[in-house]
Amino acid sequence: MVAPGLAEIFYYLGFIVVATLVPIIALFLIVTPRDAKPSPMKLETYEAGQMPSGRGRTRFIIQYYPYLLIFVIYDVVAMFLFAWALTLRTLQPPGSGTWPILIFMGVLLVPLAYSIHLASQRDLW
Amino acid sequence: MAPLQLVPLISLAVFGLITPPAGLLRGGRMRLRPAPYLGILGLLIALGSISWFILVNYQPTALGALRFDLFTYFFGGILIGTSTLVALASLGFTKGDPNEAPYYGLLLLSTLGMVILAASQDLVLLYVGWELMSVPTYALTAIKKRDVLSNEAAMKFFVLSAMSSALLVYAISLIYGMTGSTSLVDIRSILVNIAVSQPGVKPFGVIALVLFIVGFGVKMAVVPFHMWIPDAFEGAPSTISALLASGAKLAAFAAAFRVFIFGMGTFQVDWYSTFAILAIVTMTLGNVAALMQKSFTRLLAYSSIAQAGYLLIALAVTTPTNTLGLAGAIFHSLNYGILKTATFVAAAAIATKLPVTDLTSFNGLGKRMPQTAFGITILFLALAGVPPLNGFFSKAILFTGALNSPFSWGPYLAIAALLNSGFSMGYYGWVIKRMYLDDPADASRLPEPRSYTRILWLAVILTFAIGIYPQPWISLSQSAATSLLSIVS
Amino acid sequence: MEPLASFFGLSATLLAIGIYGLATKRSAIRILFSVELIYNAANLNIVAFARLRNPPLVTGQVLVIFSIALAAMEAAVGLAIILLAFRLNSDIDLRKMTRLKG
Repeated sequence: MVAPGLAEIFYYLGFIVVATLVPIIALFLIVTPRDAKPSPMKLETYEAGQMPSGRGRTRFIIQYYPYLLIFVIYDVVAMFLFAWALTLRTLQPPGSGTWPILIFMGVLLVPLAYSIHLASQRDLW
Repeated sequence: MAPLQLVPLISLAVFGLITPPAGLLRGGRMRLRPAPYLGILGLLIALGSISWFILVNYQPTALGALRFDLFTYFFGGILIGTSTLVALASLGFTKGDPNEAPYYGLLLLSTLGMVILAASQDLVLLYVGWELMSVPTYALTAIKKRDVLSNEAAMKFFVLSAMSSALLVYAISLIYGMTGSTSLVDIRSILVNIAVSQPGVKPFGVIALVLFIVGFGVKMAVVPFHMWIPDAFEGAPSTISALLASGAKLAAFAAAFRVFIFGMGTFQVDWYSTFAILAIVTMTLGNVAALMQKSFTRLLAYSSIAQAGYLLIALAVTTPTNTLGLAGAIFHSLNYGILKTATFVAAAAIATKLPVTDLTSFNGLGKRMPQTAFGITILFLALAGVPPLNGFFSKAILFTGALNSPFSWGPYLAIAALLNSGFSMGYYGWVIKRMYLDDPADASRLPEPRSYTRILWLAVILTFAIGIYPQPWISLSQSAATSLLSIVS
Repeated sequence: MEPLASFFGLSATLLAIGIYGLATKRSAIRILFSVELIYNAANLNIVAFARLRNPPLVTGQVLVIFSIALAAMEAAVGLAIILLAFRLNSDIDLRKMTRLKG
C-alpha cells in the first residue's frame, strides 16, 4: 500500500492539469502581451544597459575539455564506491563484496586509461 | 564461477572494452588491423554461444534481473546477427579511418546493450540496457567528425533519443511508486488486482503507459515520434543506419514486448486499441511518405517506419490466449533484421560508387552494378511480402494473429495491414523498374566493393533459405512467444 | 500537505518545465538542460516513493544511483556532439540545422 493520500483523485488531476496547462499558458504568455516591433536596438545582446561592443564569444581553450568530460563521467562512479563502502561490513559472508568491486574498478580502468591517452593527443581535438 | 548463460554478454563486454585500446597497436611497419577482427571475433563468439544454447542446451533460467528464455535467445541471436552483418560490411568503409577501433568497440557495446534489453526482466536493468544501447549509437552516428551532415544527424537523433530516455525513467518512477517493485514479475502479479484494491492509483499507471509508449516509440519509429528517422538515416554512415534501423529498433521492440505484454499485460486498461491505431497510422504514413521520396536512403527510412507499423500489430493483438501475433512479430523481426541490414548495406555500396543516391541515378543500375541490383530486387520483394521469400510467411502469421484476436477490430487491422502491404509494392516495384527497365544517362560499368556484395549474397541466400523452408523458424518463434508469457523462477 | 504529494507536485512541475523547454528552446545546450530536468524529476519521484513507503524500500535508491550515472554519461556524449557541431557550424541553434531535408 502506498501512502494513503496518494490514492486520492485530487493529486493525479493536479498532475495532469499542471503538466498540460503550464506549457500552454507559458506559450500564450509569451505570444499575447508582446509587442512585435523588432528594432535593431532590441535585437542586440543585452549587456546591462550598455551598447554591446565586440563579440560575446571568446576563444575557448580546448585542451582541458577532454579531462572535464572524463571527470563528468567518472565522478559519479564515487557514488557506487560509497554504496559499497557503507555495506561492506554488513555483507554476508564477510568479504564477499571485494571481488565484485575489484572487477568493477578493473572494468572502469580500461576505458579510463584509454580516454586519458586520447585526451593527451592534441591533434584529435 | 559465472553461469554459462552469461557467455554471450561477457564476450561482448570484454571484446567491446579491449577493442579500442587494441586499435592503438596499429601502425608501424606491420599492416596490422587488430581492431575490426577482434570486434568480429567477439560478435561471432556471442553468436555461436547463443545458437548453441538454442540448439543444444535450452533450459529457461532466471539469473537475478536477467532472464534467459527462448525469447531472449531468439532476439539475442537476431540482434547479434545483425550487428555481425554490420561489422562485416564496415570492413571496407572503416579502412584507414582514425576512428576505426572505437567504431568497433562502440558497435559491440551497443550490441551488448541490445541483448541486455532483450534479456532484462527488471526495470533497472532495462534502463541500463537502454542507455548502453543508445549512447554508443549517438557517437557512431557522429563518427565522421568532419562531416556536417553526419553531425547534424547525430544532433537530431541525440535530442529525441535523450528525451525518450528521460521520459522512460519517469515512467519507471511512476510504475515503481505504484507497485513498489522494479521486477516485471512482481509488477505483473501486483497489477492484477490493483484496479480493485487501490482504484486511486490507476491513473498513474495510465500516465506511465503513455510515457512508456513515447519512450519506446522514439526508438521503435512509431509515427508521431518518427521525425528523426529519415534525417538520421540519411546523414549517418549507411552501415550505422543499418544498425539503427534493424538492431536498435528491434531491441526497443523486444523491450516493449517484455514491458507491455509481460509486465503490464494484467493491467486492466485498454491499451490494445491504442496500439492498433498507432499501428495503422504508422504503416500508412510510412508507406505514403516512402512513395514520395527522391532519395534512396530516405525511401529506406520511411519503409522501415512502415515495417515498424506491422510489428506494432503484435502489441495490439497479443493476449495470454492469443500469442500467434507475437509469434509472427518475432519471426518478422528475424526477417526484418536480415532484410533491412542488407538493404542499407546495398545503399552503402551504391553510395561509395555514385556521387548522389537520388532515385534517378538508379536508372539502369541492373547493368551497371548487377550484383547489387539483384540483391536489392530480392530484398525488396521479400520486404513487400512476395510468396516464396521469407517476408511473406512472417507477415502471413502476423496478420493471421490480428484476425484471430479477441477484439472486434482485429479483422479491420488485418485488412489495413494487407492493403498497406500491397501498397508498399508501389515504391519497391518502382525502384526495381528503374533499375532494370530505364536507360541510364551513363551506362558505364561500376566496380562493386567485395565487403558489401558478400553481405548482400549472404542475405539473399538467407532470404531464400528461410522462405523455402520456414517451418523450423515458425515453430521456434511460436515457442519463443509462449516463453515470453511464462514465469521462470 | 501530505509529504508525498508535495514531492510529487514538485516532480510534476519539473517534468512540465522540462517538456516546455524541449518544445520551445532553440539552443542545443538548453535542450540538454531540459532533458536533465526531466531526469531529475524522475529521480526525485523515485527517491520519494522509496523513502515514504512503509516500510521504506532500498531498491529506489539503487535505481537513482544508476539513473544519475547514466544521465551523466548521456550528457557527456551529448556535449561532445554539441562541441563538434559548434566547431563545424559556429552555431548550435537546432532550428538552423536544415541541411537534411527531403
